[in-house]
Amino acid sequence: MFGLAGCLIVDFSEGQTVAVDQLAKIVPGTTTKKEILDWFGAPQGLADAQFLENYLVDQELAPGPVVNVPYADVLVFRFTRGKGKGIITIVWNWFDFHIASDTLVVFFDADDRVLYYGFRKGTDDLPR
Amino acid sequence: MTFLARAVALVAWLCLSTGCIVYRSYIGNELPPAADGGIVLGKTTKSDVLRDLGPPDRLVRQYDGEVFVYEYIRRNESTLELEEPVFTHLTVFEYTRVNEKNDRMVVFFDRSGIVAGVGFRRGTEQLEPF
Repeated sequence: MFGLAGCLIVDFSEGQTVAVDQLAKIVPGTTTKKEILDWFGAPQGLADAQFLENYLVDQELAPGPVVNVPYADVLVFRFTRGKGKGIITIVWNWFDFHIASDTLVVFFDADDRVLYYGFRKGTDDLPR
Repeated sequence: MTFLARAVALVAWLCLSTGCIVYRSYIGNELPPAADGGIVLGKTTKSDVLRDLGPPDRLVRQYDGEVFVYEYIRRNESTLELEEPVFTHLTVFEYTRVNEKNDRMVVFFDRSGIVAGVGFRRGTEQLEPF
């Protein structure tokens, strides 16, 4: 039976990593949407394929995108990472999955300047 | 067939025909303790919430303001399955137990970006030990 046992290790990621070193440059009322796009690249929902996220949402393994429809005054940048491990034997199987994300949401005013923003780095809390 | 051989065959058959799956998943970013503690209705702004709690997991727009949804999900699932092991793999018996709890906070803003309401429930503490 032990000869037929196996183990499973999963480590996946999706999306562009959020350029944390650029966050300090964001100044509400001054920074423009163009600068945000230059610093952080293409936002989520507009350019990413999101195949993995769509699959995870279908499987109820992820909460889904921050906004379902693109808003002109909100840009979302998200990097999702998942880690999992498992032990597979014939009679007993054990799986443990952790999924977290780094998310930056930036709101703009009517002149396309940053109104406010929020950032949360969740991937640091994933198990090693 | 001797008694011992029959006993071994029976144990082997049971091992091949039964399976147990234990599954645990943690989804999302954990909310800080007393996440709603610093929010004052009619005073705290959207900027304050973004600074203290970070971006929401979901942003909903309604007629008279936005809603920020923060969510952290923990799910424990265990399954015991008994199936015919050789020919049909027909499942004879299956028992699945799913225990899912979440920490969920919903923050309502008025049109000017001031907090108009907060709903917070920390459910993951009620999750049974796994």
